[in-house]
Amino acid sequence: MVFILSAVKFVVVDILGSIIYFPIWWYTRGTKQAAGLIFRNISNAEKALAIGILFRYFFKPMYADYTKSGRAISLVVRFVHLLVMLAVLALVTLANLLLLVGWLVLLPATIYIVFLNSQGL
Amino acid sequence: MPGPNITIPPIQYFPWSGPAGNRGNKKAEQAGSLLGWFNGQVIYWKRPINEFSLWLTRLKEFSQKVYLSILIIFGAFGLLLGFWKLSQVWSGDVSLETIWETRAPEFFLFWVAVLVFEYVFFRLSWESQKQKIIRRAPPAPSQLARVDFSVIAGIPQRQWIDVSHFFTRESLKAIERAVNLGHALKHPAVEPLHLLSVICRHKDVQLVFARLGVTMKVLSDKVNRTLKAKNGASGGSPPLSQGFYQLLFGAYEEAYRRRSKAVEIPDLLTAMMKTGREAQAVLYDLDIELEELRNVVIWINIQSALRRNMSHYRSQARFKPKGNMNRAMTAVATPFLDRFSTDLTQLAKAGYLPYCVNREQEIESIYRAVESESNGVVLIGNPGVGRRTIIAGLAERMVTEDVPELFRDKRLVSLSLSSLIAGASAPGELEQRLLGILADVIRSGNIILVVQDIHNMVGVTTERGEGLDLSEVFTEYVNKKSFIVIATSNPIEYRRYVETGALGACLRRIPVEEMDENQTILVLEAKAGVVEYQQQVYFSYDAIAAIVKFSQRFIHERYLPEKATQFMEEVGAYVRRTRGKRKIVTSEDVAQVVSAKVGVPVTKVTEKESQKLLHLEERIHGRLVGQDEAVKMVAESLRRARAELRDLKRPIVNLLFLGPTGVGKTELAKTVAEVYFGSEEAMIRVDMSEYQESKSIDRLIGAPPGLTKGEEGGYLTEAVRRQPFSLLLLDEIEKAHPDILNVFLQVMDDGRLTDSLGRTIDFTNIILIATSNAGTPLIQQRVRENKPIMEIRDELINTELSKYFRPEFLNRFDGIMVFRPLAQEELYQVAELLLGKVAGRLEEKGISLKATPEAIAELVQEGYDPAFGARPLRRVIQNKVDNALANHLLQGKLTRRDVAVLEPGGVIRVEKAERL
Repeated sequence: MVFILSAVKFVVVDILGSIIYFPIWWYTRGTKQAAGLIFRNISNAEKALAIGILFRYFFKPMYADYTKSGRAISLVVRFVHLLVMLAVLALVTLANLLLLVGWLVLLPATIYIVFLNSQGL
Repeated sequence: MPGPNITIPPIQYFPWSGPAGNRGNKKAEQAGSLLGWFNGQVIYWKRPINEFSLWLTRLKEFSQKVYLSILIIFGAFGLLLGFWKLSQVWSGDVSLETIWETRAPEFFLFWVAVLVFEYVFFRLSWESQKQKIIRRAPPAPSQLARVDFSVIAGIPQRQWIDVSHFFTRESLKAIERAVNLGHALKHPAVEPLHLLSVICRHKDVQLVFARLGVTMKVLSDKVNRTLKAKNGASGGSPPLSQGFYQLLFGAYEEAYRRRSKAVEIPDLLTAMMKTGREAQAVLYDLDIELEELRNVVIWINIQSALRRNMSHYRSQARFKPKGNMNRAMTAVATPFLDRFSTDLTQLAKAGYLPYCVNREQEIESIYRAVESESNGVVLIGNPGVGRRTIIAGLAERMVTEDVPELFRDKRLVSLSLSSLIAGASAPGELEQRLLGILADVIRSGNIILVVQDIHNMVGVTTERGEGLDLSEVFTEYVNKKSFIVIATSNPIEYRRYVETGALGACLRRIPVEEMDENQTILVLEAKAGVVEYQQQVYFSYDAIAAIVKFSQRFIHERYLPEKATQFMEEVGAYVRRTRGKRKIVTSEDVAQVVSAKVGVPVTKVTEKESQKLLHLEERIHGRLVGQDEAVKMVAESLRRARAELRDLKRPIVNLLFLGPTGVGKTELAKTVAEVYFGSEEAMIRVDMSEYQESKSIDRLIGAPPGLTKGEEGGYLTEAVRRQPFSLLLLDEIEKAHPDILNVFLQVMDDGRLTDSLGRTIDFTNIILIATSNAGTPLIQQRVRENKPIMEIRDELINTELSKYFRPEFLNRFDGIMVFRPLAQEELYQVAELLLGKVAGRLEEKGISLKATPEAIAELVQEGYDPAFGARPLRRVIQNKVDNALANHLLQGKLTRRDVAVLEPGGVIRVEKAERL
């Protein structure tokens, strides 16, 4: 009997404990995990768009054309290129940040909506 | 992290009664009965493992499964309900706002389901985060010292490390199953053997045993037998034995040492080899050594690391551009260069280059050299040491951009000298081509140029060139530092052509040394997968180790790791051909291939062969009469060699045969060659009487370079180089010049000799036999006086031999044997043997030969000469028997099936066969 009681206690404590820990986890380790994922997404996008490389070689003429006109054209093209790439990166970053915000508000929002829906019942 | 130079001493164990202040807490009492001191930390096992705790764990797992299943079913139901309701509300002209404001139990349930799924997601993520990771901290040297229990007791308990946190779920499960097994068998305590029985069934362990060449059935039979032999007496849940705790700590130690994040099942197995006595005995019985087991576990880890690297490589390789253009778009098209070159980064991106393992050091030194303002580097190593693989490794790193700044966003392009030179016939065309190539390289700016075998550039000019050769043109551009060069060469050609020239001065040398056996094993382990896939066979660890060992020992003039990797392919193909697909390659297979290749027995000694070896004396006596002491000594040394008990750094055996002419010295040497190397032909015979002057050493080991025949090598060194597995017979050694004997001092002691070209010739697989007639009168005289042979030998060494040989020379022989002059009755046996040979020749013509005892006695009488041994007898037989037989044959008196009987007086009586 003691055996069964302690087992039931064990299970109940396990479940209740996890329900209490659920929101705490969501804003600590859960958020850390989500932030890590988003950071990786953004840095992969940066790598794919080669923005660091574009910055580093901004003043180096394209296609080894070291003439004056070559340099001028290159500068313009690189500027436009960089702008476009930066815009794309900004979009990606924004989307990812939105995802992170989504994570942060998801739990309270769900609880609020559940609460709202419970009103009219 | 602890550097490789700090070795952490093994765990120190202390018996322990359990945590203080338990106050009869049964669970806690169970928890500890052993403490460990490892790497400056106290380790202990806190997690209770007994019947109750196991039951609770199972209950927890079960309840969790049920709980999560209920939640998921509820969630799915809620979502469906919500969608169903939505589809109902949606019909018609309803705005989103209306839907939002609609209140229905279905929508409520829908949102609760969303919440439930968030909760389920949390439970699952949380569970996967629970596993702790082993963290490594560099220990202070003082922490590594041995300690007393009082020191440990002084450390507060909260600083102790509970190793149970670091065990993976699988490992914990296995431990629990072991406890269950102990319980089921009613054993008094849970021993490592129980765990062995449990983890045998785990796939990783099965993989380990497969690599060790152990069949699972044999293993489980042994384990079960040992388990059955144990007494079962206890009821209730058996506690963990001290040995089991040691095993748990040991597994933690293993995981820590191999830098794993957690304690996995193979760690338990390795630890078992260190602690559990019975389990250890079972494994030991199966011919498994601790070191071997560790290496196999490492091997399996290498393979999973390779897989991880591969997927990382693929994900990173997509960023590398495909064409000539770099990502910064500063490059230009290089059509001219492309005609004469291969783009290694493109090949690497497509996965065509060999995977490079264990070459971090060399690649690191390339980085260092290039970053420190040098124009370029030249990798110098012998063929097969892996220069190409290092370059492939660099290409692979450049693909993933896992390289220093100078190498990033660049292409590694290999210049093909043969296509550069081919067809350049017009004056100056070659130089022009090279300049065009270099112009492309410099203009593009994103090219690192690889020139393999750069020594081939030296001295190459077109007809009527302008006086500069290709290497000089190249050097001029390299010195401008406008591009990076990575070249390769080998030590001999480099020294001869490059080092002294301008090219040598502008390239930084990076020597690539031959790998040692351990590193080669790692390389083979990494490459085994490919061969296994191609040949559909499976390499055991023993086989890999044997491949490395034998290739180092028997394949000369080629270098590790290449000779080992090629040998591995050969063995794989051999096993597939002879035994079929899906077979495990064992070290015995490797030995068979080696034996067939070099003609030296290295396979395990079979029953038949061991009989042969044990009765070697009788076999030798089949060809040689008398000389029992010498035969015994030779037979013993051959047995030692075959059982691999000899020193592998010296010749198999060095013997000196002393005695008058014609007593069987050379015959014994021939017999040895036949017995050990399989053929009389495996003998290199050097007549030392031809080397009486000190100058003749040039003929023996080759003249120095520059002299006539300087490039040819010497007679002895060349012969041994071509036939390293043979018997070296030095005839009449006392006649050689003392300087020449000095050469053999090194051969006999170190088993090697450097010839005039600087090549080291390996003498460790030869049997060296020197013969000498020195002191013959003394031997004859003492034999007449009936002195024992050993006494004669000692007297010879002290008197006669010291006139010819220095003591250190005589000392290097493993045995000095004196051959007695043959007595008349021995000569009788010799005559029989010689007549047997004549009979053998007649047999081919279908004629039998017999000899009456009187006839043989007469031959012996005529051929006996104490001074010349058996030689005159041979002559007598030739004159009397062979000549008479020849006449009979020519006259047609002897035809097939006839029997020729030799009678006294050299008469041949013919017993005619019956007419058919």
